[in-house]
Amino acid sequence: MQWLEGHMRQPAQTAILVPLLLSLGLVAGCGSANQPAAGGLADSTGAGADVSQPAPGERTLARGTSPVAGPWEIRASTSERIVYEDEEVQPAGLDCIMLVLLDPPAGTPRPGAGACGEFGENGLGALELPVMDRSGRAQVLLFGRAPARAAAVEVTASNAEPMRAHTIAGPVDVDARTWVLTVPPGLQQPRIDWVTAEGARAGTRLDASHLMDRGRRLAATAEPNP
Amino acid sequence: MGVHYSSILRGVACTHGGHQYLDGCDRYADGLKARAWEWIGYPFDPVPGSWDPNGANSGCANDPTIAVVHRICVEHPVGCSGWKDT
Repeated sequence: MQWLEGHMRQPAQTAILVPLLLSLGLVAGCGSANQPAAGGLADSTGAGADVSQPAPGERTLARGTSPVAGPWEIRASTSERIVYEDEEVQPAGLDCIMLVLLDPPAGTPRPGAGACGEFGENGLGALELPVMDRSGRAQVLLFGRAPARAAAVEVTASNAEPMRAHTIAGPVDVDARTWVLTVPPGLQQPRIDWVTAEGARAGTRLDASHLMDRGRRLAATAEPNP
Repeated sequence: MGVHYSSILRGVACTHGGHQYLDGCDRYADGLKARAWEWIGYPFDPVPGSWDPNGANSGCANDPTIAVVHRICVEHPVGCSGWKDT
């Protein structure tokens, strides 16, 4: 799998690791109420998902390109019902959003990120996907939902100039916009707001500090040892 | 795979879609954030998933999987579950 090249250069290790963990009793999993989706496993080890193509039920909302991440795609879907020990931990039918890297750079540990259900404040919600290429350049793709009136989303930070991205039409059956904005991983005190077509800030100032931690962690792996 | 604290289920990590997606689910409205982790195995470091963005409300973080071993972690003082194979 191309997207694991930089992270796991010897895929066969997984095939060795799993039986080892099984033998240690680290087995079993969480139940899903649904059967496996078409598409199945990316390879014979089951080490990761192949998300290069939308799964059944996923709709592509937009495609774009970022300097480090390369081409990406933002998708919408509805949630599957998930059950853990007879407790429903996620109902079916929630709106889901996912950002997927179509050609993840070597060094990026995860080819996508997403979530289901309502999140954020006043219709503005944010998720993040950190990326890094082989040369050690790291970025964070912030993405999420915005109110239907949002023409743009703005990220501010104490150590950077404000950054804006135009919003993208959301799914036709959802009264919301979507957005994607590439930012550096070292933003301090980042806040996210949405902006009207007239340029007025909504004043939401969503705290995005916790959305920087994976990007910082990833960027730190590229730094030389002291 | 779930993690309990004070005998209450605080977070759950699952996979669904034929192991295509890793779910990190916050299960308790205490303001502590939860997310799933995956581990390819030694000598590699565990890889964090997305934070569950809506806390204990319905809905989970859903990331593409990268490994077959996962666990759930909730912020201090709850901690993490053990590692589980899907």
